[in-house]
Amino acid sequence: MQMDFNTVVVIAIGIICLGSSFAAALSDSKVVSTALESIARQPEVENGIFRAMLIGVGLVESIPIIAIVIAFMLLGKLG
Amino acid sequence: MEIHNNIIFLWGLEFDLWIILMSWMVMGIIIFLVWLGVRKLSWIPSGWQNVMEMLVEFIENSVKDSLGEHGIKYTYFFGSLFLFILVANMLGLIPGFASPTRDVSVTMALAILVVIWMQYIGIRESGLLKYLKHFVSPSPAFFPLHLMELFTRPLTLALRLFGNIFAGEILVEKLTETFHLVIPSVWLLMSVMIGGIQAYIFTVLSLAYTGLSIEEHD
Repeated sequence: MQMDFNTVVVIAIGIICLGSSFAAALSDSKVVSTALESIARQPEVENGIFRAMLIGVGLVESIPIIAIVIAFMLLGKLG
Repeated sequence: MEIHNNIIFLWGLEFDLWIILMSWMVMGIIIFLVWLGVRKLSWIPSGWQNVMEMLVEFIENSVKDSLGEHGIKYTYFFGSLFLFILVANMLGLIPGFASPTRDVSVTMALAILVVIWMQYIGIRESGLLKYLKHFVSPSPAFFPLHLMELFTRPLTLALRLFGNIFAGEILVEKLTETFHLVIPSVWLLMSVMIGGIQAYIFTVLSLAYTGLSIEEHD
């Protein structure tokens, strides 16, 4: 298998998507599960907890999304 | 993605004419929607005025949570920020249009605007001396940290919004190329939600950062 530019770029895109999707899903699930537990514990604060959960997900997902943007940029550079 | 390649070069800078046109369209849409709401003002709101008042109350509550009672006078800035980003994110979902926020220049401009306003609000609320003192606040060793925050905050704000909207638009395009009707429509619905959430996150984070820089003095 010859290691020319296209091959390496495709492998790199694959690794980026692997890492970022894994990290995003794992961290999001942690945030949402903690939010669900605290809603179950105190149902009357549901609105505030839901809002905090959305903000948390947005913050946490910013780094994987930046990684995906880099993957898109690499996709554009494919020969 | 490259259908509209109207970039002009002026004074050494690049200007994307399509994005500029879309930004003006967003402003036009916001002005039109707001004009619909203030046509026949009445003390008991009904119809579109009611919707606008709900929106203003929502933003006022968010501002009040972060900046306190006396921070309500800055609602106009954060409200405009929220409305612009919300309508801009939604505009790209209409076929043939593009979101202004899909360009990193637009999101970076919004983030830099927020940083400048943070300094202004901090100085205006606490006075210049106290505001400068908050840079060495817990201890002078924190000064590099506060200085770095001055750069990383707008960077993350801009890149978060840009990444979400840009990746969303590209995905819509790729999905429509490959699949037929159901899957792109599902992603379109998801994009509506993401656009709203990202607009809210941008505004709330800006408010939280501003609140941090004035809370130590109140």
